[in-house]
Amino acid sequence: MKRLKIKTEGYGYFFIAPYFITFLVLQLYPILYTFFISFTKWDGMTKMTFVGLENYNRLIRDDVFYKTIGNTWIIWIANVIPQMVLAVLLAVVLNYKKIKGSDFFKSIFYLPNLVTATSIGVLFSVILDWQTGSLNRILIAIGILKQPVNWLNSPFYTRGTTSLIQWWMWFGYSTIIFDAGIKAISNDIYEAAIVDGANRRQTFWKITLPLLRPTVLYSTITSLIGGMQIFDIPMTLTDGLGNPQQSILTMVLYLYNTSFKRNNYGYGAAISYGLFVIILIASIILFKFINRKSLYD
Amino acid sequence: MCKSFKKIITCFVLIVMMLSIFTACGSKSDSTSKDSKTFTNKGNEEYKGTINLWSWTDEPKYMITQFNKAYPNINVKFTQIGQDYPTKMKTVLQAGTGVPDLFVGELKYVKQWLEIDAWDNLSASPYNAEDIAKNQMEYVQKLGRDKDGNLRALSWQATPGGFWYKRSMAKQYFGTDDPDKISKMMSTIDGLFDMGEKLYSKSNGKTHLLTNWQDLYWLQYGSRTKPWVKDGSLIIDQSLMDFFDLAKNARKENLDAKLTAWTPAWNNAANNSSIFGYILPTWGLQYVIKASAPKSEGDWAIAKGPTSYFQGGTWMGIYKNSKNKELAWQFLKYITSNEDYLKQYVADKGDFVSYIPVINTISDNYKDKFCGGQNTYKFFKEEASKINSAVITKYDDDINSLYFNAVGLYVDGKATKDKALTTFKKDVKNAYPDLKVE
Repeated sequence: MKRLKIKTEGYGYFFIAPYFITFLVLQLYPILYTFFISFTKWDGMTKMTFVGLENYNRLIRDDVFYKTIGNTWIIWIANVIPQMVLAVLLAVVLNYKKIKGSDFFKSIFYLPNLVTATSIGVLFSVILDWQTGSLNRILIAIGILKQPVNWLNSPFYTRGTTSLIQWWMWFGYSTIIFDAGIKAISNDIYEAAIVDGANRRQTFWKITLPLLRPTVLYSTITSLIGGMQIFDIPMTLTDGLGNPQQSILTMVLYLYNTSFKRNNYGYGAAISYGLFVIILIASIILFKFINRKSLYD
Repeated sequence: MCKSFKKIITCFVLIVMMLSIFTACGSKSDSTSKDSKTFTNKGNEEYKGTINLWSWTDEPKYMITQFNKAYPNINVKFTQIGQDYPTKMKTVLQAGTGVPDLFVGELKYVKQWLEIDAWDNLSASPYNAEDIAKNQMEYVQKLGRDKDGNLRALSWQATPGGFWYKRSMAKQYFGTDDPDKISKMMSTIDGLFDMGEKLYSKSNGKTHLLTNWQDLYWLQYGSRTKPWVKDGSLIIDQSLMDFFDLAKNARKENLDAKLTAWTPAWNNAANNSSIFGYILPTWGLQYVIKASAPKSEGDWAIAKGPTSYFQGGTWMGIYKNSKNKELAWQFLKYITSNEDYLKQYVADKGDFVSYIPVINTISDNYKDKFCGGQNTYKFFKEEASKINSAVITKYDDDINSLYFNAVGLYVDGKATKDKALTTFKKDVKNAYPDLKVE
């Protein structure tokens, strides 16, 4: 009796081909082409001229670029730390056995992520308007303020608003990730700990957190990659140039203005590769830092 | 044997697909479609075909409806691109495919497009557009010319500006709402400031003359003799240097209602008593005042400030490599020079056209109902003739924003004038590294 064997070799390639073709055309090709553009001088309309490393030379000496790096990091850190803290706490709380409707809460927390960042940026720019914004009106009505405050003219408050919006939009997502991470921790460990007389705080600090490390790592690195590229909120919150005093000019906003507003595609491409290098180095450092001692076999 | 054959075929197909991607990027259609150098003279119904038109507002919809009444067999396909318009146009122009036959350029970027040879030369035959241009307001047709002086784009409108004010407030605080008398009061900067101070004190701080100090900028901008950039160097005209102190004083003397332009609050100021009026050009009436305060018909008028100025405007041209130039030209010719169409356009839309024969016919008897019967056409005709558009450059829009930012620092007390100037120069150098900035 001959064994019927379905020939499956070769078909795998067909199945993964759609993804790879899309990846090649829409992602890999633009990435490589941008790299090529970064060695040219091009205004998007006339001819490209090859200029070698001139764009990168300018990039290393560019004060504004360093300022944008600082801005992006400040905004990200002010967002990610409260976000992770809150997300971990919420995930732990939602996993107490007595909580009802934890799924409902998770959905509610996730909702802000579904709104487009651009509309939130515009909304906040209206709320924080100097003379007529709701925030000033409410604070004056309650009596906390006597004169309206020009929030969006202050670098501190503008950056704070950007971080706040990011935090609000993403804490739900992180909560869900951490929730999954906690559920993956085997209950046996908790039971063993309770038998040994551990209380809630001890289980949290000694069991939950350490075992959540890979999840925290994943969450932080993806937040880093996204946070380094923040663009839509800084653009819509104020005048599109990163003001006040270029305090919310992030790297991608700088790249965008350089390329599409000022028609300097070559330098914009160089900025994007500068950004790539920064994200790469930061990810490696973060990875090493969070994963410094392996707790598993 | 069969298995490896399948593998080879799959790999081969994948490689071919990858290669085709790389080759597709390189090719740019170098087609210089040599259109016949003459157009045939036909009856309007005999022009048949389809042309594409792109713009960022929906203005062309009206034009197309009217155009089809005269040219029923030309199908004009209009696509409204929206805010992304300049970026989208740049992309298709660079790719060379998918470019519409007719497309517009706003003042902000029209100079850029004149440089890149995107529009066909309308001065040459078979267009001979100089016949139209000689009947247009001078500053308008000048802006549609490339560096060799050839016409590349035409505009159907002119956009001179003035001070749109509320008649009821003028009566209340200045004793009169007559535009001539108000214009006299604000014929100098000092006069303007006097009005502002009077307004503020009489209204107990509730009403301001202007929406923000940036309004004054357009007056200074219109009185420049030097452009922002000449021969690759940044120049700051004296009237713009004066603007630093003008703006600071406006804030100090409470002329400024501190509303940021184009925010909902700024638009809504047409409805309430927080401001006396707006310093805006012709389109301010339709797009800002009428749009925000439609019920205030009759309560508006326009006065002349200390300087004549203009802001904005739209030019339209024919794509250099279009395959339908003859049909596109019929459209462009129609909307810029057909007198019956233009007269109807004014009656329906109230816009200020740039075609002098039509302006002359209208301007004697024109009464704008929204402005309490004022002859705004006569007003704009006079203002438009004083405009000097030779000082406009392609950098203007961006450099204006950077200048606002620097002056804002000075007005808010965050920087001294010198520091603000240094910041401005640094910003310009960063944005345009090829410019010489001292």
